[in-house]
Amino acid sequence: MEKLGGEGAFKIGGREFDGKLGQLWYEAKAGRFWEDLPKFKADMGARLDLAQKNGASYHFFSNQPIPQEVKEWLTKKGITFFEILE
Amino acid sequence: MSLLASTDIELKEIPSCPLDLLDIFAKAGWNLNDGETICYLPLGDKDDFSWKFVPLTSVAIVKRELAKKIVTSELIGICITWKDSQVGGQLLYNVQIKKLSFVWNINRRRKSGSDRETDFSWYEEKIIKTLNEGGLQLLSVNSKDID
Repeated sequence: MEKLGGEGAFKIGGREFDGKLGQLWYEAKAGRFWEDLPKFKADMGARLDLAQKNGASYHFFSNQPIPQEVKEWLTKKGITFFEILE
Repeated sequence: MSLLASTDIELKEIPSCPLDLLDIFAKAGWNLNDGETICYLPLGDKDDFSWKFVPLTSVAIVKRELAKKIVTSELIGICITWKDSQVGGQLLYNVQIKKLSFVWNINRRRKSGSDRETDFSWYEEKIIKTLNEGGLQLLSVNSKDID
């Protein structure tokens, strides 16, 4: 994202975001962020709300394969996801 | 990359009136002020995690809604912050499993000298004291940062 001219981490409403490219806000995760699914959903749900209230879309980048259950939840919420596997 | 910072607390017992937990937190210095709003999971949210934001004056309405969620065995979710610090997070609890989870994602505090790791001692000290003063017995406390 930074190669495309995106900005790095920022904070709004007390919540941290990993970066943004214009009105495209995103979260990038290296680990198994979803191992405790309710917490992952609670956190992502709040960030999504903040993004939408600020006229931004919200996206999720993962360096690990995302479980199907998580993909389905992200899809339901309208959070676009990308698996960038190393 | 940001971290998911959380603390899980297993309780021996949940208060017979689970909403008393909010009073226990309030008495210790926690409040429901998340950016001048109350942020909580509304009735019927189930697995959606679409947080609802209402004015701070709506405490009674929120408590009534949370009471209905308890009756229908829904996950309770509400944001709490410490005194006037605006530091806090999301409190999640399910009365059936006697477990409290906190996601520390509101102005997350870092350890001294670290720009990433969460200062869990700051949170745990306050939470443990809060629950002890509320007469609740803790079976376990587990905090972790996840990348």
